[in-house]
Amino acid sequence: MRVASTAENNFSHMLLSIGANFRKIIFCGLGVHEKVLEAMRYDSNTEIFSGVKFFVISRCMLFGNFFKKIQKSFVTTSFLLLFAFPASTNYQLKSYGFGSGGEENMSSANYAMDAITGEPNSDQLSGTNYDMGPGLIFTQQANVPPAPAFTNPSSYYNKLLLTLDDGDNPSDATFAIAISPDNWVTTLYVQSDNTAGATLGIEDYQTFANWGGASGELVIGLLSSTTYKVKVKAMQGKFTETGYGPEASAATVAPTLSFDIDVAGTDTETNPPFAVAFGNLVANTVTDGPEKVWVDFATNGTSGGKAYVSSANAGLSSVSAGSAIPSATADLAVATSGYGAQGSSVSQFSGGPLAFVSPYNGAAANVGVIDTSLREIFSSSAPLVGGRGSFLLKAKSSSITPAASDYTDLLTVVVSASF
Amino acid sequence: MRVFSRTLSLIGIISLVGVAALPILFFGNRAEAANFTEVYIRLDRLSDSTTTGGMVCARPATVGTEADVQITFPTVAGTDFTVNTTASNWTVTTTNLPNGTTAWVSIATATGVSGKTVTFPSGDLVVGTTYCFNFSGTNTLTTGAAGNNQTGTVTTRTGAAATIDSSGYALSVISDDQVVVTATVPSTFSFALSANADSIGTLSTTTASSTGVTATMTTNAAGGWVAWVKSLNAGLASASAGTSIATAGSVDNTPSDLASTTGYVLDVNVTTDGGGTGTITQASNWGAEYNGTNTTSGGTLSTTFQPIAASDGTTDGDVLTLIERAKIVATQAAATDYTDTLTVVAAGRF
Repeated sequence: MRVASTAENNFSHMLLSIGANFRKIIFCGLGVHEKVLEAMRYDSNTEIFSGVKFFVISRCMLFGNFFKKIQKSFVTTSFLLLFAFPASTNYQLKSYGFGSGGEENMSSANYAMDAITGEPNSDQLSGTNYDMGPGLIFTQQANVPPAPAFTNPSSYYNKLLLTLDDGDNPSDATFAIAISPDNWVTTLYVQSDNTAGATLGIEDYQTFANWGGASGELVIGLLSSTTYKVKVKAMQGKFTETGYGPEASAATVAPTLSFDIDVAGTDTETNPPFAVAFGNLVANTVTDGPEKVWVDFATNGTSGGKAYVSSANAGLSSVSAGSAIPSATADLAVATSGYGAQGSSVSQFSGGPLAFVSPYNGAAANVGVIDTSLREIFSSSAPLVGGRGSFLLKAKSSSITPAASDYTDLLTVVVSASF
Repeated sequence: MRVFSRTLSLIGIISLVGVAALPILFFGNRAEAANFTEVYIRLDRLSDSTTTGGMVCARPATVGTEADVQITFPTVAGTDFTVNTTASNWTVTTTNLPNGTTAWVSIATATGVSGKTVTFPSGDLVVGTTYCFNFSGTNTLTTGAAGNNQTGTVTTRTGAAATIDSSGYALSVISDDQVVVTATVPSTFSFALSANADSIGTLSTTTASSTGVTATMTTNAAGGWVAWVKSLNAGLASASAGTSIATAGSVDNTPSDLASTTGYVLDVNVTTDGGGTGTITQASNWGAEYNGTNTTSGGTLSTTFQPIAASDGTTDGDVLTLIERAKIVATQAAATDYTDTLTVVAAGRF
C-alpha cells in the first residue's frame, strides 16, 4: 500500500519508522523532488524484500547493514522480485529511486503540476500481455485496478452487479468506472447514483467501500439485452490517477414474462379450451367448481407482476331463464346466493413470493367478486421463477334462483409484469 | 516549423472539439435518460390474434418535461402484433385505474403511429408518481402469435423528442386466455295443503263458509306456477238424503255471489305472495273464476281441472287459501253427510 496521501505530501528528507514490519527506511530524494520517499518492507526470514518491481536505484543513502541485505537479495532474486511491490499491511514501496530534481505540486487555483528531471520518460511501454509504466509519473500513480467482477447474477434486464478489485490500493483511493453498451463506441461512466451517465464528475470517483466493497453494487438503468463492458481506474490524490485497468463484461437479459392457464381439479397441465362445469347448483348450498383455474406466472420484472381475472357476465347468467347469479364479495354461507373466486394455492420455485390478493384470500365460503373489471387476484412484488397459483370458483343458488341449465360465465385471465 | 506547429495546434483543437462532440453525436440525449422506476402494460386480452385494449402505467425516474409517451408493441415471429395505423382510433381513458396510481397527465388520443410505435401526448410528469391510462380495444391492437417474453418499450420524451425515461417490458400471449364456466340450477317445485278436510258446517239460507285450507307453492320455475282444482261432485252430495247442492253459476271467469243465489262455490284467496320473481294473479282463464271479492262469492266448481291462480315467476312460498261456501234453499233435504272432494294440483312453469 502506498503511504497515506497526507503523509506523502509532507515528506521531506527524513526517516520514517512505521510499524514493526519496517526494519529500515531508504532515504532517497537528494533532488528537489521529495515524493519518492516511501517505505518498504524487509522480510527478515527470507532476507529479501517481499517484492520489488523494476525500478532504478540511484543515489540512495542507505543506513546500517540494510544495504548489504538489499544487495544480496537483489543480485540473487532480482528477476523474481521484478513484479511485486514491497508492502506491509499498511504501506507499500513503489520505488527505490529518486529523481534528479524537479518541482512537486506547483499549483494555481485550478491546476497543479508535478515535475522532475532525470527520470525516464512517461511513455507507457505496452506488450501483448503486459504494460510497463516507467518513471515518476507511473511510480506515483495508484495501482491500476484489475478487472472488476461484472456479473448478472439474477437475470437482470436493467442492472448488473459490479464488484471492484481495489488492486491493493489504500482505502482512501477512489475509483472511477467507465462503462459501454457498445464495445466502447460510446463511453459512459458509472455515476455516484449507480446509473450510467455521459460525464465523469469528481463525485463519481468513489472509494472501494462506497462502490459496495467486496459485495459490489448494482449498476442500474441499463438497457436490456445488452452486453456492457466496464473498466476501472484509480486515484489517490493529485498526480496519481491511473489509466483504466483491464475490462470486464456482462450482459443484461431481455425482460421476461411467461404465462399459462390450466384448468383441472388437481395441479395438472391442460390444454384449451378451458371450462369449469359446476353441474347442479342445489339451492341454498355452496357449490365448489370441480376444476380450479391454475395460472403459471414468471417474470424477471423488478417489481414482480400480477395476475388478473375478469368476468364477462359479472355472474352466472342464464339466457333461457333471463336470470343471473350475480358475483359479489361475500360469505356464501351467509348470502342467499352468489358466485365468486377464492384463491386456492400459490407457489413458486424461487423469488416472489406469489400471494393472493384481497378479497380472494378468504377461506371457507368467502369469495371475491369477479366482474367486468380486470381484478388483481395474484401478486408478486419481486421477480419470481416458476410461480403457480390457483383459484377456485364457488357458487350458490337460492330457492328462487330460476332453474335453468345454461348458467354461464366467461372468465378472462391475464397477467402483467412490472419492469 | 512554426507553420507546422500551428498546423498541428489547429489539428489538435479540431480534434479536441471533435472528441468532445463525440458523446453528443453518438449518444445524443440517452446519457441523461434512465429507466422508469416501474413500467407495465396490461393488455385486456392475452389470447393470440385477438383484438385488445390495454392499460399503460409508468413511474418516471428522470426529471424532465414530458411532451409525449411512446408505446412500442412487440414484434414476434410468425403472426406479428398488428398496430392499427389510424392514430385517431387510439383513444384513451383514465377510468378504473389501479389504486395508488394517477391519471396520466394530459393523456389524449394518439397523435401518431409509426410501425409498432404509438405516440400519445403527455403532460409533465412528476418523478416518483405512477401514472396510468387505458387505450381503446376498438380497432387498435391485435395480438400476434402465442409466446412468452414478447418485448416492447415505453418511452417518454421531451418536446424536442429527447428521451426522458425508457424501459422495456414483456408480454406473454397464449392460445386461450379464457375459461368458460357453466352451471345448472335444477328445477324445484313444492306444493302442500294445510289440511285434507274442510268443513263448511251447518248450511242455511245464508252463506256459510269453511275455515279454509291453504295451498303453498314454492318453485324456482322461471315462469312461475299454476294451481288447479276440480270437484268430485260439482256440488255437495248427500248419500243419505240422495240429493245434492249443486255448484252455483258456470265457469265463465266471473265468480258467483251467493248473496243473490244458492249453491256451492269455491273462493280462492291469495294469502301470501312470497319472495321471488313471481306475482300471483287470478287472471282470466287463470283463476278469475275463483277470485271472490267478498265473503259470499266464489267460483263454480267443475269436475275438470280449472285454474284457480297462477304466478309468473319464482317463489319461496306463495300461499293460497281455498274457502268453500254454500247457501241452501229452505227446502233443501236435511242430512249430515253433504260432501264433496276437491282435488287441488299445481305445477311449475319451467
